[in-house]
Amino acid sequence: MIKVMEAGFYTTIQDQGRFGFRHLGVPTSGPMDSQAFRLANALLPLKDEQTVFECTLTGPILEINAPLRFVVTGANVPIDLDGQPCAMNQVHFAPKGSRLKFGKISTGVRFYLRFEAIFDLPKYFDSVSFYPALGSPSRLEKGDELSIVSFPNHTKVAHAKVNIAQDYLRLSKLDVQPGTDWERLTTAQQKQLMEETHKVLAQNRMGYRLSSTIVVTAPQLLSQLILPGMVQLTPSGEILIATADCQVSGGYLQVLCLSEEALAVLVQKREGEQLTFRNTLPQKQP
Amino acid sequence: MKPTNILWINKKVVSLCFEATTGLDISVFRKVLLQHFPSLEEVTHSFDRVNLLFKSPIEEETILKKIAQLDWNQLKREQPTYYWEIPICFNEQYPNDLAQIFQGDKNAIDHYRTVFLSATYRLEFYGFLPGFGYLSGLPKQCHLDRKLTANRKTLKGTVAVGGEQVGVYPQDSPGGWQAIGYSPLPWIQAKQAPYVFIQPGEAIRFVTVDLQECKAIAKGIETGHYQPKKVLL
Repeated sequence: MIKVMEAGFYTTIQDQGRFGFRHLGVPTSGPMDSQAFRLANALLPLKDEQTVFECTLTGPILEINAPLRFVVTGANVPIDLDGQPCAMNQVHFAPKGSRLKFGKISTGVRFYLRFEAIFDLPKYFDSVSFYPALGSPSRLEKGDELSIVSFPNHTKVAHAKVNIAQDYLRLSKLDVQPGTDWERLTTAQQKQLMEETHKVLAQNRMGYRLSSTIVVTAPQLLSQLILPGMVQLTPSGEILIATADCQVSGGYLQVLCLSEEALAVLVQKREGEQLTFRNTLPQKQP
Repeated sequence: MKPTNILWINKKVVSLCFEATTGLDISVFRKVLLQHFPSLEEVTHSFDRVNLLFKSPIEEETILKKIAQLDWNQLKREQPTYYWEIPICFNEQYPNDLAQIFQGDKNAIDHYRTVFLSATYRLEFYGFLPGFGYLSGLPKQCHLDRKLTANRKTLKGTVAVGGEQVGVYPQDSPGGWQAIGYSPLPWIQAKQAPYVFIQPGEAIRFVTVDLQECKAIAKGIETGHYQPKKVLL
């Protein structure tokens, strides 16, 4: 069992997400930073079990009542296991009864904590990922207890630091391709969108809201499919970038589409940070 | 009916565009598509697009070939033989944007409601939020422009109009559509299949209920005694 002594600012449980239910309007959810998520799972694989803690801004304090290996990826954060500092992107062993806590994130927003264990968590539409509209909690709370179904009882840890680039946390250019409504913008608007610096105004698991000075006269569009990474322009001139919990469809102009790498860069940015788009040439034409 | 355009959304997603006015009957065609493309993870659709979401990156040529092999005529829609009765309450206790839109003109509001209630709607597809059904069939004189800025919170159960589309908010959510009434009926539940009771392609009519009836229905739903009504057309 893992006991949540402090929940942190916004800690959720995520697996790969729920697929196959978008036709019912159910978002995929899953990790915001899929690169960090994949890395955590690659460093500590356990069958098909991909559950992680997604920790936002401030990490939780956890009491670990089973001998478990764990790894932390994503945003740079100091890790403290019973007073001992631990490196990121490296497998560690937490003896039964140990206490895991985190310092202040130096770069990024979200870090991923993966334990080598199978937790007893309710599934909603085939996934344990938190998404309150389906009945799950919205986040972990102080006092929550996560019971463990099984764990492999491995204790081996890697001593050599895995050399994994955390550089993406410092990037501020997002690689994009034109979205389906790109052509609806005037050349001047396109230029403005690509050349302007956009400030992060607000962000959560549904999406990022960015500033812009573009004014579009909005046609009444039919709602279309939205995927994480799609960049939409609202009539009031704001940029909305869809992320993990994004709605599955919507009617704003879909002007750009982020690459998977760019999406990982984005979701590690805080309010106030500045971003620009970089057009990668359209690779394909029908 | 063939796709009029093909949009390569990303490495794993392709959207097939159709004439919006023809009306797709993807509810039947979903199964065909899932069989025809074994590597599909999901099929979704909107009013005028079918979206193929693959498990892994796709090759354009292969997909184009497979698209050409399909008999798109199967997409023709059939006339529904029944409709679902959806209760709607216009009591002022519930948020309503009509007052503002018609600047308090009671006759205009009443007229809007009468026209709205006279129409038969069709559930085109679910999207936006879990259990949010996009309904078509709104008479032209009832079309309302979306709000310029989405409000912070549209309440669960709000019946809303966005342009030519109608929908019922299944949960509290920011929303840019105009609220015209309230419906106590939940459209989705997460426990087990079937997750929804109205299937895409099925017909819907709104039936007005007063506040008392509305509350009674809400209570019936809570206790599991209320069943949505299906009426022959």
